[in-house]
Amino acid sequence: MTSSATKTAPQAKNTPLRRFLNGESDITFIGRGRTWAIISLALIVISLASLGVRGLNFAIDFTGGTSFVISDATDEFTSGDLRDAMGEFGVTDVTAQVVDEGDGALVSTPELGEVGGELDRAATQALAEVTGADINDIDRQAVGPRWGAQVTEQALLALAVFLGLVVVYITLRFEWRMALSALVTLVHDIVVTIGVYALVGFEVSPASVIALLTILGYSLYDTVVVFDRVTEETKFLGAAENRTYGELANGALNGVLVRSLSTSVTSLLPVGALLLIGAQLLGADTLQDLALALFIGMAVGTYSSIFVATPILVALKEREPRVAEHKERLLTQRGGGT
Amino acid sequence: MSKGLLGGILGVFLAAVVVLWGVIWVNDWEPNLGLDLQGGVSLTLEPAPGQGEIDLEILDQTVEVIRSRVDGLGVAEPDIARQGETVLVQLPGVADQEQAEDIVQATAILQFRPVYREIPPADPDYEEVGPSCAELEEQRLEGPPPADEDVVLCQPPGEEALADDPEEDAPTDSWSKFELGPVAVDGGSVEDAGAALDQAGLGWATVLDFDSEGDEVFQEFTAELACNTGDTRRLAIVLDGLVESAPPVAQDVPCGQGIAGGGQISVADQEEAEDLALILRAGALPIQLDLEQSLAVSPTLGTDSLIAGLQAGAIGLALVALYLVVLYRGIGALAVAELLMFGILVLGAITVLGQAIGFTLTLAGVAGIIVSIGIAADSSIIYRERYRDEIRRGRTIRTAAEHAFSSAFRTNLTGNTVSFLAAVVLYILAVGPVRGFAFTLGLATLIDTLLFATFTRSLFGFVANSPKLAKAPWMGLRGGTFAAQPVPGRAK
Repeated sequence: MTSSATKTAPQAKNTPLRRFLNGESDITFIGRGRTWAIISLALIVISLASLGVRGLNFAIDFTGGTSFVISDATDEFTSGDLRDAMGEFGVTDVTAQVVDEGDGALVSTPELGEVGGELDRAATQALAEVTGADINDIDRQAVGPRWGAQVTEQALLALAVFLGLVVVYITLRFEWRMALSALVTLVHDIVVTIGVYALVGFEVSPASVIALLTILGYSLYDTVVVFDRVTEETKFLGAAENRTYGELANGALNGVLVRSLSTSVTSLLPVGALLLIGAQLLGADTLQDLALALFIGMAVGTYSSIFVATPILVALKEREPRVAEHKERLLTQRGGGT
Repeated sequence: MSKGLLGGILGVFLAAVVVLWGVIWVNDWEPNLGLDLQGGVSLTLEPAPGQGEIDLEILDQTVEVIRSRVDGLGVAEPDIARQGETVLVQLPGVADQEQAEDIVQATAILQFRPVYREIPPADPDYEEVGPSCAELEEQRLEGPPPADEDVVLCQPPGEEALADDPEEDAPTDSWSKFELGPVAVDGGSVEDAGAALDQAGLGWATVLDFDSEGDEVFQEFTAELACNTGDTRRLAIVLDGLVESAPPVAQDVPCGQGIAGGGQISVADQEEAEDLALILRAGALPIQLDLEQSLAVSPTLGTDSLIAGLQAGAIGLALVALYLVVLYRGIGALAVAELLMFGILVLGAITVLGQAIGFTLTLAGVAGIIVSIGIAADSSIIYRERYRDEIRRGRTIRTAAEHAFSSAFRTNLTGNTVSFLAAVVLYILAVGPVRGFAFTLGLATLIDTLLFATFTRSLFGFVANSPKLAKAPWMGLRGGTFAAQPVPGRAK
């Protein structure tokens, strides 16, 4: 894509792609803050609405229950057969899925009595009979409700502590306005990612929680890189500067655009590979859940670090008297048309 | 920075990597794989609710009891650990999930039996009497020895009967055998047990309290024993089919009268008295534990997951490499070298940490590594973007590389601090698979920054300092090769 610049063509054409790769693109991110705000608000409203209407589909790790991974099945069976077999144990909310071209199956049920108790074992036996698989080829995962509650609680605690530390760190490293913008951006990412889960009905497993936290890490990393550049560009904001804070921030965003997009691509490629491989693998839910959430979240994170974080920062910053005055003066000068 | 110094850093770094892998190769170390990657059974136990404040020391004792039972399973490397109030039992390679569940949940069975004879390993009859202690260990898993029959049971030597470190246990053929009579009193009769100074106030003893019926039976039992001398004066305390202790009835107990109002067993010191009391109280485990999670992974599934993780990592790495070379040419290829070095270091670190601190790589950990490929690639990208910025500002190749390093490193440090922070918070606070993920993510972040300051910097600098390489169009260092026309209005 850069091969046009050779010795024989010293003055290459000034194409948009070229300007983009040069960090000289001039896309208006800040000026259209209102547009992005409307888009983001719409996303948030849709997310909250689907969360309210459909709720989240929590895996047994959070709610308690038993799941089975059956491999090397020898008999013919349908997912209905599996559900019927589980119905014998008085549980209704059973999910059953035949995989691996009929050689395997995934079944999960709400709690079956005590973990590792008689019901758990009888259910394993019943599945072995339906599928013709050896009982040792049925991997049973049983989770008690108390453990599930604890996993959820700890995850939420970790999230809260993480957000708190982030605010402290960014305030110390940069300033509180950036910390606030970053926080709003993170909350935005969380809400939208959860919204996608609610809307599509993906199962929320511990792996999705891991993914969510990673996404926050990435989004934050992205945001910090942008803020780092904004800080650098606006270092000398004063009488001599003939651009406003918003314009400088916009310049900074354009400057790091290639990096932002490249980083998103290089982050998404391995995750995409994970998604692809995980999809073909029986029982590797961890990989697939993780990859899926990452894929969604990184897309959201890339969007938000450009379209949410910096516009909020500029809005906050332009309330600062010094910056507001500077902008006022510049606008008057330009309006005066010297 | 001069070319010589950069070369020096590069040389030292590469030497360090060679040493790292040399050590791994010489010792033939391999990463510790988690259950989900090699198959096995994982059990999570928690104290049952309604037991009030949990005494962690007693919980540790409970873990020891479980450990000694699991040892009987013959698992190669069982991992039994307490995390907070949670007890994690990891049994790699175990296929029978139900047996594993039974073993950790089984109620400990306590029996008092009369001793007929102790047969130490040196005794000529040792081989002849009863099955070998190794066979008896296996039988223990099937349940307690029959209550109304004469039995032969074993006792691990010395204080090791209550060992804290089972790995130091003596081999089974050095254990003593005991010929024992039928059960006289069982653990159900024990109401309480505690450590106390003995009556003379000279040593420590374990004091036993029975319920009223047990009291009577115990008195009858000891009355009989008190008429004997030698081995037959002893009573054996049997827990889960192992002789824990076989003290003789004290000499001052008259024949036919027995011990009323509970028993007292003299022992060497306070610790031993407390340990024995703990066992005697253990009609059940010292703390009632509930199984909260039980997970089985078949070995084939584990291997499949590992292979899938490795494939995904390799494909991801290849795609990222391709992207970097297309975007940055020669210096993109350098970035690929950085990524490979990153992979080599992360793998090395995981292997070494597996040996040093017992770190176990799980599927979630593999995912953490794959995610960190993105982090590593980002560092390379930031550096190259900064470099292009510096060239556009009109710097020479050499100074641009220098300046780009310092600003890119600052950004890398800020960003990685945030990621590392996230990893640490997750590792400390989260439970379950999240911890494995947090560990590898945090590790990868540290390695990324380390690599950036050494390998990336010196490799890039070295090339930028070499006139021949720097001028080559395919290297992508020169302004003209990446569409960096001087911007009008900015002086070159």
